[in-house]
Amino acid sequence: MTMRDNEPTTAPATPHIPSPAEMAAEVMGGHKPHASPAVRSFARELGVDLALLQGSGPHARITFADVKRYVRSVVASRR
Amino acid sequence: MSATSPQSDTALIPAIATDADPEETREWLDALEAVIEKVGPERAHYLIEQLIQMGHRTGINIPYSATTEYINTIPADQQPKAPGNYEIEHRIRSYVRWNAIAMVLRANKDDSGLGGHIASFASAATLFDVGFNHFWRSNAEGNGDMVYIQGHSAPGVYARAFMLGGLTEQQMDNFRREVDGNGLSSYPHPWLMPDFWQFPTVSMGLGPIQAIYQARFMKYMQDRELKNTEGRKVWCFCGDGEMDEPESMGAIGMAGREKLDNLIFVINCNLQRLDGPVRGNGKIIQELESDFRGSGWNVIKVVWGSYWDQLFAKDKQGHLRQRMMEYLDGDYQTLRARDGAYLREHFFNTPELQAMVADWSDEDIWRLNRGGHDPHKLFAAYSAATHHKGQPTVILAKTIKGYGMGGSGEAQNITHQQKKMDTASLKSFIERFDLPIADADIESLPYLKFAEDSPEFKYMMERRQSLGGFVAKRKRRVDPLPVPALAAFDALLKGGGAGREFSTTMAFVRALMLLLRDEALGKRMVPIVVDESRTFGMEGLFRTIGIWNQEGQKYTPVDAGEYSFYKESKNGQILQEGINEAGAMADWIAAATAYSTHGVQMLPVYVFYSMFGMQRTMDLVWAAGDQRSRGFLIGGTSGRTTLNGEGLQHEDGHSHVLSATVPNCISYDPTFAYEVAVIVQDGLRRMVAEQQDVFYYLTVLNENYEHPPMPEGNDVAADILKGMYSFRKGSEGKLKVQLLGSGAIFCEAMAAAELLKNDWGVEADLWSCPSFTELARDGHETERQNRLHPGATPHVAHVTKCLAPTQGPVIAATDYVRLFADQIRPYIPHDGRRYVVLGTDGFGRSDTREKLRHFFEVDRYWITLAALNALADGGEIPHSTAAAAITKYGLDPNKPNPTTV
Repeated sequence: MTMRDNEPTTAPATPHIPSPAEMAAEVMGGHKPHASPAVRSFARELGVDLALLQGSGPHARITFADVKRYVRSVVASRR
Repeated sequence: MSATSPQSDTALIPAIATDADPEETREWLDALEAVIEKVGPERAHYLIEQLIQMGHRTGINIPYSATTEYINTIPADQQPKAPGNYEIEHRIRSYVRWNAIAMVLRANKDDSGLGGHIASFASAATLFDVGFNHFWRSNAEGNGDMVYIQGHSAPGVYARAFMLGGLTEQQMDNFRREVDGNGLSSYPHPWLMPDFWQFPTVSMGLGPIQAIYQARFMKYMQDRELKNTEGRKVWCFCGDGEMDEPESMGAIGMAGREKLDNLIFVINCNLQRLDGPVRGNGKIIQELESDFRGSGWNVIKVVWGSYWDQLFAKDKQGHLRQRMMEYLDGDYQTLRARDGAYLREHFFNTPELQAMVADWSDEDIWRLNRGGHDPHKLFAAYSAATHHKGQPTVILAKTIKGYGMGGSGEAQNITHQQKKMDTASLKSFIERFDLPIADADIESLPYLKFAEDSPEFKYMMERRQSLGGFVAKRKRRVDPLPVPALAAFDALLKGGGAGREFSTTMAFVRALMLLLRDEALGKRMVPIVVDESRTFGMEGLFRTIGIWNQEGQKYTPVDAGEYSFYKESKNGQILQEGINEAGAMADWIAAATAYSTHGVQMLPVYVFYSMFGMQRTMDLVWAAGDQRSRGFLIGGTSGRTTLNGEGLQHEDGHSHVLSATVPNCISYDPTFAYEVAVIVQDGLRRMVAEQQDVFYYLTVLNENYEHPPMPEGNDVAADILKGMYSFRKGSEGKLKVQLLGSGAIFCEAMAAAELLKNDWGVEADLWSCPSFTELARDGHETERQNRLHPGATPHVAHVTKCLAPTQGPVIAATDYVRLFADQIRPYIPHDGRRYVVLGTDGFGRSDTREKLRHFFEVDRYWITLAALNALADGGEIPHSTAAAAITKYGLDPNKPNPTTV
């Protein structure tokens, strides 16, 4: 049985191809807090979970100041 | 596949074992992921670039990887919607496919052994069709695109021309049957089909290198305001196997450096060469991607067809991409020679991949197509390529060799040579492409054509009309320009005067200067050099006409302020190719065919080191002949003994034997300045004024000697052109010889005439023979003419005509192998006279000219000895006289034959 030639004649419906953002989220296992490696290292030293923070930088990037502010607020709340 | 292989590893996190601080790694990668997600891939790219730059600045040696993933460069959701009616185009293409097969099968039906190729075009049909329908503007008038068609795909181009009414059924049946006229050449050959084909491409590798230089020559024409070439493109189709030829890739760096954004390569990556896979153990597309990107090209990969898109949509984890990358070309080939079940089992081999196609039938899987067979993907790639600025583009299109041939050829190792298909295969081909051929008619292999009032025919015509006419159409001539009369070269005709010595190279350069100042031709001259201008005394031209460089001259040349400084400029005239004979030859061909490709007569003059011209680039010279080139090739520093000192690899004693093999190449080995002038002027007459498709090869010398004025006489100029003229008659005498010579060795013959007269009382007539090759051709033609017209008044060859009234043996000496002057032996009058040829057979070596001429036995003493011996053999003098000459001139009778040492 011969198959008909299958060169696509009508323009194929364009499926949604996963964007790099979607792929990054998938491959790396979920949505990561937006922070630089240096801030990540700083947060790790202080034992801060960045997932709990709201960033104040562009695109809600978490800054050093955000981490410090968070630590201060936690410490203050424990007093 | 090893996790450390940089090309194949798509896992983002390196193996723990090789990672000294996984926590730190994780933080960096998490940070990057967040940037990709929150800000976007462009920002992520910028950061990565900054990191790499920082690395470079601090001296970390970061190797550069120029490959991307094994997927299409243009993602499905960024691909423009292709205009056109693709159902109609598919029907048209199916007919083209059939006709291309039918013509090859018909040509081989009767075991005539004519050959032909089915599988190459089968893999390339869609690549061509998208170009024909949507991109290529006709160059019939020298204003369109120049398309270098892959040679083995010629049947597809014929099939299309046939359907458009450009070729008849009879011509189709004469594929590879050209001798009786009205035939179609096996491959693109402008010599054989001068109104049809523009570019010969089938000597593998010559298409690509010529296309690159063609594209740059377009920029030259534009910069010099000789032709507006804005928007015109050069398209070059080549095979992936063809890329192994050094010529294919040898100039891609130049194309990148020169930013040839008018150049598009389409490489048909069907993964197969003649005998087997191109890169069974690797990936030709990835290899070519890094080669081209590293050379500054824009690379567009068209690997996968539209049917894969829905799988890419599901591939959020990158498993499919990873599998695509790790799978080998040899295995990809095997996949397409099997079926859907095999493909499912061997390609979709992990649970994740199996899940992707779990609800697909084997037929669905088999339908997964390659990018080069998808007109939508190709349109997107071609469109991106034509709009790309600042770089040449290469499109790497993955295809299947023998596409559509089914079990009898598709993706089989034997497919390239296949020129027969059994009835069952044909039947399934007909079914597959839905062709209107009844079973009973299959054996007769009917050609298919759409009626002129059919939508398909109208569509084809409308597409071509909107693109300016047919692609397969070649312009043959332009309006002739006036050429200077011989008198314009007066300075060369009257000689240098007593005591003034110079070389024929200098004479040629003077002729070139005159032409550069000529009102009509000056601008049309294209001097081409390969870094040897100073060798030939041409450096004065640098300042006067400048070296062309698109970028001008941004630096201060070291010799700025000197009289002939190294001047590069945007409107410069010289093409300086560096040490690059193949490139210069490709340049020369582009200029030498500009009358056809641009409709502008140009006159290229390529001056090379004669040993590195014909011998080094002979295949391009042959292609130049095929292409009906017009221009001058100048072999400088020629002659085995005249170029002293340089030795074995440099001393040319055979380029004239090679040039003689090209039928439309006219070769000369002149001795004197006036000969150069006569030859150059006549070349202009033939090539420019009369639009003859010939080109000239002149060897010129670097030996300085006196140049006499041109001898008086009505026939001298005409005889120079025929290749032999009377330079000086000896006195009347009982003993006479005829001395012939060319180039520098003719001066030795002149000296021998003196020795013969003074030492031995023998008079000599001197004949300068600027072209033994033209003499031989005239002899061949005469002989043939007489053979075909028995009983008619016989024609007489020029050599015979010159020598018949003379007396005495004939001695010829040149700076070339004996074969060169021996060509005229049959035309020496058949009156019992000896014809003795001296030449420089053997390997050259370093020494003075005198020593070398003695070594090769072509100097005045050896000529004298040869003349005396010939007289003795003819019984005119005793042999003891010849023996006396050996003693007198100190010649060693036991000297080894020069060819043996």
